[in-house]
Amino acid sequence: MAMPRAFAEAQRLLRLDKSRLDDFVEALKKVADVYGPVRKGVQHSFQLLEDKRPELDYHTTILPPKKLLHEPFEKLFSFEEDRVEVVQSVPKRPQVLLGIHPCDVHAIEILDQVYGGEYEDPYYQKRREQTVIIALNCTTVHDNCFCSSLGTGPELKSGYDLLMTDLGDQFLVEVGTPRGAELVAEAGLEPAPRVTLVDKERRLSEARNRLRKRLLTQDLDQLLKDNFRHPVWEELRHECLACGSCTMVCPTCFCYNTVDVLNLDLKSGWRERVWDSCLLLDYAQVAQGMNFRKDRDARIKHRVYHKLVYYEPQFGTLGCVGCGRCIDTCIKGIDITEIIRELRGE
Amino acid sequence: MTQPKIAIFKLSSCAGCQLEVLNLEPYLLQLAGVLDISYFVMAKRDNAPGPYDIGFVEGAVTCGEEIAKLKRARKDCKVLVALGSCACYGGIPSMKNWEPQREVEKRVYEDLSAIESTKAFGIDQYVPVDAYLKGCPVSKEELVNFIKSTLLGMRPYLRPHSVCVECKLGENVCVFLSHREPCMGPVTTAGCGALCPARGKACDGCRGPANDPNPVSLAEAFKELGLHRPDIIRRFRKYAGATLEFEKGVEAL
Amino acid sequence: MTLINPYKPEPAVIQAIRSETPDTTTYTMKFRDLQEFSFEPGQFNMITLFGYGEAPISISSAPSEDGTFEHTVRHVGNVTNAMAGLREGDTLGVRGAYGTGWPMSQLEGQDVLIIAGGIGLAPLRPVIQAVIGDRRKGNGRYGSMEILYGARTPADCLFKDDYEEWRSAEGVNLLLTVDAVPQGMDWEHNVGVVTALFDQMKSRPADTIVLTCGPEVMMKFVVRGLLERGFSPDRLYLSLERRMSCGVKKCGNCQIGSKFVCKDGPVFAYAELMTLSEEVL
Repeated sequence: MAMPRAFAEAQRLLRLDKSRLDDFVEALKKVADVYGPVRKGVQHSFQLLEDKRPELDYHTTILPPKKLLHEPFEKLFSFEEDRVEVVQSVPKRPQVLLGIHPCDVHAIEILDQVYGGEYEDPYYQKRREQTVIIALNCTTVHDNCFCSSLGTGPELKSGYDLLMTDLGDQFLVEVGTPRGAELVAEAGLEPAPRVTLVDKERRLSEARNRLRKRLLTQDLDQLLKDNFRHPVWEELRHECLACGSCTMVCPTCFCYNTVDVLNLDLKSGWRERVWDSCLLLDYAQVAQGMNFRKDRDARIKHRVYHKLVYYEPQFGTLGCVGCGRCIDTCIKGIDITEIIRELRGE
Repeated sequence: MTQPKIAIFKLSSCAGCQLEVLNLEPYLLQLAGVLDISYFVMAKRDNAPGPYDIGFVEGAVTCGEEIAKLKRARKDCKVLVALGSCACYGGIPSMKNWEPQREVEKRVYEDLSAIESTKAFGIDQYVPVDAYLKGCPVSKEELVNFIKSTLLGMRPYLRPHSVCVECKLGENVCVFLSHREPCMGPVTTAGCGALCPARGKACDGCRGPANDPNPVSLAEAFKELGLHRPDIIRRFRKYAGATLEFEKGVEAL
Repeated sequence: MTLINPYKPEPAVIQAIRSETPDTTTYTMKFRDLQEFSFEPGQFNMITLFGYGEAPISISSAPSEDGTFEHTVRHVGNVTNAMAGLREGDTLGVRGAYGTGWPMSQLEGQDVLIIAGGIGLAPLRPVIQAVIGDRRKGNGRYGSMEILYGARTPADCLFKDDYEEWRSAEGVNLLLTVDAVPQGMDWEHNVGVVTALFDQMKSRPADTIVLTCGPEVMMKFVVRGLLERGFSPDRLYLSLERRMSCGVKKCGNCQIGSKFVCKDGPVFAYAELMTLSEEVL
């Protein structure tokens, strides 16, 4: 569809009364599968909004929206003896990710790098093409967020089709792409006066000031290189449960394992990939039991170094977006920001 | 492979794992063409003597008679599999191991003259074991997976790591953090699909220690939850107290 | 948009099977449908036996014109054990070739020292074949070549059929050693670890590029011994083994520090490995 002329300026700022949120979601559902944060027990989870209402004042979700692009379990192909058929469960309709926070949008941009490159991952890429991002700036923050340190929040600058900001009784909706413009045209949102931007700025800067956690990124590379044998790793070896939770909930972790699943005829079946974790003992194990990261501290270190050092040469970006999920999920309260503070001698 | 002969033996147990085998009927029927279940006392009247290709042993070893039965089974089976946590670690019966043997016997039997019980152990205390199917009861999926793999002559992929991994894959609310429940998931072997936490209940540790558990750290976390020493000990000794790994959780206190 | 699916194995047909040792076999394969396939010495393929899984296995032959390639596997895992049941004419799944191979262009004008242990000779055989082939053609691209090879016992030595050809080639010195010789077996070569052959070798640090592959503990001693003898870390190349589930920099399993062994390796200069925080050898 041709870009509406007005897209350039006038229609970039729109408003959505909170009382009309349901109508907006219904309008989206007409053209797409809409996923949004819904309550799951005391936490939240991105779910298909069938009969559920999105709770846009959520803090974070158990799993990041990554699960809708790189699924926890994914069939790669089915086989029968040596005949192979690629199966791709790509949604027929576009999928809208509604209300995803800036940190999670940044994480998706990192995954775009991971699943791009010389060998593009067709499963991720096809789903990604079908994905519309309606992001939500963070006007509230929670205890373990440290996005401002990494430049990934609480405000999003790019990477969205639409960007919402909670202004109390209404959302400011900014249009980022022609696809976003199409959706708001569909939903019939009204233009917002430019002055709402002032309100937005105020709320976001308040949110920024409320962030308590910091992860100072200055000379991080050198800091970690110099502290490969710091006593903190030995302490963590005793503390860490090596349960793998921190990696399973991480929005930028991408590792997987593949398994062939056989049908009962023992001839046909499928190959499936399943999220894997470098915290697990079996992660770096090869035939005959040889294990290249047998010690728990080596695995803990690999996670921290990968996020904060190795992503840079690999994908040109830091591997952490400061979403705080790894801290939220750790029974032992292991906190990547605390580890760095300790290495810095703070 | 020509129809491998399967045998299923029972030692001290509740028969729940054998029941799971029976519950596999829809699969077993499809596999019946390739399997010959030649010894399964709980399920059939005519049971053929050994040798067998694969023997599954359910239950803990708790008396001399069972040791003899087990050794016989070992001789008769090419592959011997511990079926369920009792056979793997002693399981529920092993809870008695930390009380004087005579005291336990007195609680159950009036006449002790014919009772000759031992501490409850997993079968590998007495014979070499080729594979372990953990759980109370065993997981049907793992059992089918194991049978399929064995028929193909390969090692099955049985998740060796913590329950937390599967719990997160299922995007469950963490019962430890959200409900302050003393969940054994972080030190327990996965493969159950995080069955209990997915239903809001703390993992009971029924599948025994994962491949790299840190029971000392978990015991400390339980203490911080406000659990008393006996409660923590009970959690570590419910199914696999006889394992070195879970015993470490006890020693940590 | 059509994307090539990098995870889909292509059918390849077994052309020939040669038993190397009691637990190791060489398979000659050819793609059934795929027309274009090229590779460099030191690269690997992901090999699938449907239902059993997939494993990274290095190519053990030099590129050939008839489109065939060889894999020499030790039957130790699910996939490689299942391969033991394959017959000529059977089909399996292959995708590749992946990774960075041996630095062939850097070998030009240099002497080549090859040090291998056990199955580690498999990824080095293509280099040996290429160097000897070049010499046959009279191109004279490479200097002399020394091969130091260690195995557990004489029966465990790979490519025994090749030794005669290697030895008879001009400027090639083959030194063999085994950990132990069973009673009653003839063995006229060395007994001991592969580094024990260092005293017999003629390769000089300044003129030689070293290529090594074997168990990491062996490579550790090889590297240590060579550095002591004055070889420089940027002239030592190692081929590493890691767990891999994709071969194309996606599954993450093979990482060492920031390196993906599947893409940045499996061949690395030791000098490069020295820069990594995570220790390798």
